Amino acid sequence: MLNKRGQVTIFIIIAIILIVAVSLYFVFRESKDTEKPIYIESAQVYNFVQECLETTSKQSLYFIGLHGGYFIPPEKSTVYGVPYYIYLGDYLFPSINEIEDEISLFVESSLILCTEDFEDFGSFEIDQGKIRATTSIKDEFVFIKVNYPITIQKGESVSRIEDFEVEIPVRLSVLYNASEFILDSYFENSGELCLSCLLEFQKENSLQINMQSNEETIVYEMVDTLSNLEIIKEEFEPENYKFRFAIKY
Amino acid sequence: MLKRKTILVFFILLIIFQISFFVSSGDPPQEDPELTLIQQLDILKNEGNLDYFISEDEEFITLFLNEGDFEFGENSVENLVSTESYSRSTVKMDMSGNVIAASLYNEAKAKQIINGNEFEVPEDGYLEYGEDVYELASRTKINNLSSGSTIIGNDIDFFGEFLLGGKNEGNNKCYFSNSGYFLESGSAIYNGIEINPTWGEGVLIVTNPSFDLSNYKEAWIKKTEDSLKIQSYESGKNVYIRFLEGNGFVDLNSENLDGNKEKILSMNLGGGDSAEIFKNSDILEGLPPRIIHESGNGFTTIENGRHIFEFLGNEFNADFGNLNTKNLEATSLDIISDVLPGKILSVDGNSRYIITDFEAGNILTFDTSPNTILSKSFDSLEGEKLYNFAEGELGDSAFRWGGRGNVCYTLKNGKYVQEKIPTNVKGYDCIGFPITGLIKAVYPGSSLKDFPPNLKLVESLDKKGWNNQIIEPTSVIGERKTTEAVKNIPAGSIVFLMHAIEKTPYGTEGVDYIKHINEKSEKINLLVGHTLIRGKGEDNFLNAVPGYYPNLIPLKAREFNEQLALEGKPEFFQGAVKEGNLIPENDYLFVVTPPKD
Repeated sequence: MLNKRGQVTIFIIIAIILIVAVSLYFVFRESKDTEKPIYIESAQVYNFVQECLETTSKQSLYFIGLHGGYFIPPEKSTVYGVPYYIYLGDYLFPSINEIEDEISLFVESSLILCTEDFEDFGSFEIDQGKIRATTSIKDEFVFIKVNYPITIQKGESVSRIEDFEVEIPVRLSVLYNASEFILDSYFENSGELCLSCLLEFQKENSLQINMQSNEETIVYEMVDTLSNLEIIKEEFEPENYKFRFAIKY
Repeated sequence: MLKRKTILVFFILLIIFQISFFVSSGDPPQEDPELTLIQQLDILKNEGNLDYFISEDEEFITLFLNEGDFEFGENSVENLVSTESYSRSTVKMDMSGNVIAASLYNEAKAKQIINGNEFEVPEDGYLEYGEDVYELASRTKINNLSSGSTIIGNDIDFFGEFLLGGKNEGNNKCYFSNSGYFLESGSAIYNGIEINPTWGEGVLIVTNPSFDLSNYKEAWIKKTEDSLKIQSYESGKNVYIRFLEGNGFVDLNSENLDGNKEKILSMNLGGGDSAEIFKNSDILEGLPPRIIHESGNGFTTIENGRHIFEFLGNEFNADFGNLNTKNLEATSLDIISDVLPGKILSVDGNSRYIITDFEAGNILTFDTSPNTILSKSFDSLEGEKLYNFAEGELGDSAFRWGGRGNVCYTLKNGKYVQEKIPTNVKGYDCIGFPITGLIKAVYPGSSLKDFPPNLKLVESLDKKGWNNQIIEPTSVIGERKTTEAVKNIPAGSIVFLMHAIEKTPYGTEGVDYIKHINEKSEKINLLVGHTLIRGKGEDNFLNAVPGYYPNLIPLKAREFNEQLALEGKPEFFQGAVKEGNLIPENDYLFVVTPPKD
């Protein structure tokens, strides 16, 4: 008898736990959903902005890669804006945080060009706030988080969306490390490049390395054979992700 | 009757006598085998041709030879000279006639045979011998040499296959043996390959194919039909080789190159590294030669035109030191090394190289051809023509004061006289470079008179729609502004580098200098210092620079200078026309820009 009572108590406790768990799930799910548009109209805007963010982020990474991590090329750059990481012995290698800031700056400046003042949503009244982007370069991808406050109004109904995020699978981190590797080799070998060391690094990281020389300048281009960057524009074919910088000897 | 018989017998006897005389006189003159060496010398001494002395222990004879030819024992010497300007030739022998030491001086070309070794000594030459060491006059040819002999000299030809010294007038020393030539110091040319070991280390050039090298511990070089192998010595220094034209392995012929470009291939090995070069074109025509390198934890440097590759222990490095020259060109070549397992490095004739992994394909490329990463396009046809002209001339032109391409203006007796540039090199000075470009490429049909070699040029170009501006230096407007302004100078512009001078400079205003008020409101005079042509890169300028770096002087100009130097005359070409950078700290830039299209 005592044993039966005990079993009933256990069942009751399990039932209570289940009820609480299910309730909590719905409560939290609802609260998370409140960040997303609850109206169909705002969902359309949300998807539009998210798509723009993905395109802009890919463009930013493409551009930043070809310009050695810079949105605005620094003073010491080649004609086409490839920055010198070493200029006649001066070390000008940007930190990973600086490159993250440049990507964020690109996204902040360009996202609005993609959303085009929401002209396609003429039936809504849309107010937009300042775009703030933060970028994190991870081992296998680049994570871009954007705060873009948008208020959508149609008649009496008002909704607000603001947080967007995207993860682009390019190994910018690996290419950054490869650049650092080349620069270290430059200083360790008094201006010479340890090609065997570079080839070892290249093999470990599945890279291809191209160098373009014009007298005292060498532009290095590192191609990540494992990352494809598909730019959503007709003129761009999907291609391996590239990162360039220059050394002036 | 008796008289007739007597006469007949007389004639018969006469004929027999004449025949016997004729026959005996037809025999070669023979030395009396009974004559001893001393008797031979006595005869020569009595004829007044030499003096000799026998040492007290009667073991050696020392001869003092007068002019002429001599034979003693197995030795013969020719054309000896004995005048006040020459030392008297001497020979020291043992009593058997073996030469122990000799000093021979000849006036005319002479064949000297010492102990069976044969030397063709040029006119006004000498031969010094002692303790198996021969010191020979330049350009001596050796026809026969016994193993164990050492030769010292410059430009010494061993049997037409080995040249000791060549252009090197240093201390060239070689030990000859049955295994080959041991080059102790200096340099040598062997089958079109210049060899130069480090002083005091030496290298054996193996000519005996059956010589066993397995236990040989020093550096050696061995040529076979297909390959040339170089083995450096583990604890030794280095052996340098440079391939010359006609070496049989690498095509270094510069005839098909543009202008005065030169192909070079050299290798420097030390510390136990070895390399073998195979010509490969025997296997399939057009295949480049291949170097197979083995690391011995030493070092190897391969210099191939614009590229310098270095193996250092287990590292493989690229040195970019030769990139800044237009006059060197890479030769097609493959390199395989145990330092780069599973890979091949291929250099092509356009100074590009690719490293290919046998499994992964091309993994590294190096390109020197111009492309959009490093150059920008022109916005003026005139500018493009001027730039292309200047760029095209870089390989074949050297600096020459007053140079205007095929002619130059030399100051003689206070007047400038036109003179032809003597070789197939063109000569430019700094302003001669753009003004020749203007008449040859931009405004054909015009003449040098239309484009004055001074600031009046700005006026002439102004009439043709060119604009001008002054860019102030970093000390006046700051580094950022100057750098930006220099970066924005359109390609193909003519740029005068002007020195700022407070006092009125020597010369004429508008011709040699101009007046200028700078951003700091300072009144200054700007005097022409140098003239350049803006290139396509952001800091790329073409100019004519006097300098003395051999690699920057075109081959023909260098050869011409070398010939003048041999004649004791000053160099004609003084430097190179090459590229340079320009962000002035104190000088101003007077920029003349071609009209936009």
